[in-house]
Amino acid sequence: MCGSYVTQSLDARHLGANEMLDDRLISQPAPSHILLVEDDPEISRMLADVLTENGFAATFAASSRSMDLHLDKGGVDLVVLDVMLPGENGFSICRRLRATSNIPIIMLTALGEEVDRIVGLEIGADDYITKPFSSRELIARIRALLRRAQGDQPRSARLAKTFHFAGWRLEASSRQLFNPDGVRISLTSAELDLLAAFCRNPGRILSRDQLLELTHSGLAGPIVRSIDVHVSRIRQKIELDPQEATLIKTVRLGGYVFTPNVEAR
Amino acid sequence: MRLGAILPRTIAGQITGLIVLSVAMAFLLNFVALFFFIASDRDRRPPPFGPFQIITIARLADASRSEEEISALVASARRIGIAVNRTQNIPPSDKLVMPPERARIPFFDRPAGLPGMERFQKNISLGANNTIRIQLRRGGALIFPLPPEPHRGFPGFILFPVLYVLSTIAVILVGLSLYAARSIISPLSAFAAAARAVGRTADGDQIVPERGPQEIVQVARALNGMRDRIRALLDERTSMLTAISHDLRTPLTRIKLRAERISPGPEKNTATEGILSDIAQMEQMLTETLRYLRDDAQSEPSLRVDLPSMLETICIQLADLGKSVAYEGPKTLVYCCQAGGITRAISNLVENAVKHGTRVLVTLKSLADGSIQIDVDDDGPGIPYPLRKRVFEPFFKIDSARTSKRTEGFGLGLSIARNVVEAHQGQIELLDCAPHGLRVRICLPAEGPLAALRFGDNS
Repeated sequence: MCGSYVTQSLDARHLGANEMLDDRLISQPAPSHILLVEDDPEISRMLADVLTENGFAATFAASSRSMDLHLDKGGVDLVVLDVMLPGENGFSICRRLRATSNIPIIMLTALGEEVDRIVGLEIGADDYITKPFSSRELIARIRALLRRAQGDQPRSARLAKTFHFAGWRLEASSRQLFNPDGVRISLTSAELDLLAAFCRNPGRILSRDQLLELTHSGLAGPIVRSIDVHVSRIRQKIELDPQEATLIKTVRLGGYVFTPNVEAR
Repeated sequence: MRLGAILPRTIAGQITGLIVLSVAMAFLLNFVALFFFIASDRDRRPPPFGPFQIITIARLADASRSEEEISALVASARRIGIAVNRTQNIPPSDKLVMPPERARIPFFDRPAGLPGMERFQKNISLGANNTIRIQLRRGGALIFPLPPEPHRGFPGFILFPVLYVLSTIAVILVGLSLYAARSIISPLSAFAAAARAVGRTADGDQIVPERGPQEIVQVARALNGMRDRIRALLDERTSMLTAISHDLRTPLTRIKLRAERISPGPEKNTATEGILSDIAQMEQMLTETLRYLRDDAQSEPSLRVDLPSMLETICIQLADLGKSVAYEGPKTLVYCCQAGGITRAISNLVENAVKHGTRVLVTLKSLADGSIQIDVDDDGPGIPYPLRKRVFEPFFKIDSARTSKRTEGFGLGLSIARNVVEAHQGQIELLDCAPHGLRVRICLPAEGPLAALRFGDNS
């Protein structure tokens, strides 16, 4: 039932690694160990290939039982968890894992609907990807999540579902923003990711590259707006005077800093 | 003992019981009424006397042998209430022509066949002051008051009972109508409402209450059974389509991952691009189908939403893909609605508009009565009139030019939009856009119907 697929990243390089991600690979000293819980053997195999090509160590498990065995061995940095599994389903596994550990979890869901996504996030998944997904998307999300998990931000901020700042409320799980009057303000997906990244790192100067990584943007579509465009759009929506920004301040040559006090729950 | 235990269970039984009871009550009422009516009528009238009594007294008086006997007779007649007077002198002005030819004396124009009547008839004449005077053979006359004339108008003893009967019938009818309204019509209205709701909403079906008379309960049971079967069919259809849509996602993922591995990296060949774009199209169809099948209107809470930011966000997302989409309207406008549903509806419309036109304008207006009007205008070919109703049907697609592009979905976009708008009790209509193109207009009612549902409890 259980196949192990640990490959050193260097072995995979000859297969033709994805150049776009290569420069980041250098910055990672030891390969992160990804545990893939997926019952479709072909998908598992291909994903394991893609992961190793991109500098990760990948193990896959086809059921919750074999997943437990791998986790017991230790050394797993992140779990990619399919929702539809024989036996114990992904939601239940996620809840169980979350009860005992803070390990980053990405859910793979075929459901993809609002409700299921929110359920997944509410019970403790850090992120989700809807099938069918591209390997590029998965890698980007894994990187962003590892970056978040390894960052010096407190665990509570990573797992927080709601952020309060300057009277505003950002609900990360349902991806909604409410102004001080409790009115829902719409944001694009990229704007929301960016604002969530700011909320998780208040008071820190974040460079444009860091923001790109934290928000796994670059997946939005063929025409990707720069971080600056997204920031200016967020300012239009949350700043009293977008010309004189006080919440998201520009740091000369540095990037941006999110100034308000953020209360994470 | 409960009232229900003694009531008949069937409509037939209840109607029969009601009628029998009403008729019995009517008889009772009439009996009581007539009893009191006639009794009082009898008391009110003077003791009846008529021509026969008058003739009899006159005969007795005529046959008397002395004036004393006549006096005694008069006295006893007076005792029984006939105010007869004996008079000796007849006023000279009185004629003695008998019987009166013109002036009719009531009851005296017909001989009653009494012996001696003929004679008396000759001697009868109308006296002064409504009296009847009968001359006696021995001289003088008897003066009788005119006997009371029988009621010539509509006789009261018919009128009043008829009125009573009519009013009892009215009581029966009112009772029957009340019964019908309560036991037959109101369950039937409930049936109609329940039947209308079947299949409209995911789980909003009403169960027809199974109470009332037996026949109504039978109909209710039959309707509930039918509702359950329809529900089962709908559920089966939904779960089948959901399962297909779900299960297709795993092979699609495989294809997608494989296609990426054919030629990884930026120099994608056309075959891979073709495969990926086909997958994207299938994915969109699946997502669309799932969205249509899943009735989010049931689960999504209503929020106070800033509509301009919502519309601008939709426009920006498409503008980022290189389309010409603009928003026009107020800077802020708070409206209570299901944010996800409305976003999806407007997105569908704007995406349609972008597909068929080159320039798209989204306009938001707050009308004087507080209702909201959102127009999505494009400069495409528009939709011909005969098809305007049908494009809202699920899976309906206009053939020819409008669907030639590869990015088409299943044709559920407008259906989804309409469902969302109708769940908000709004209206969606297709209008012409000058000089050409289509304007889709959404009107949402002033106070969001779901405003009260979840107001402010999301903090």
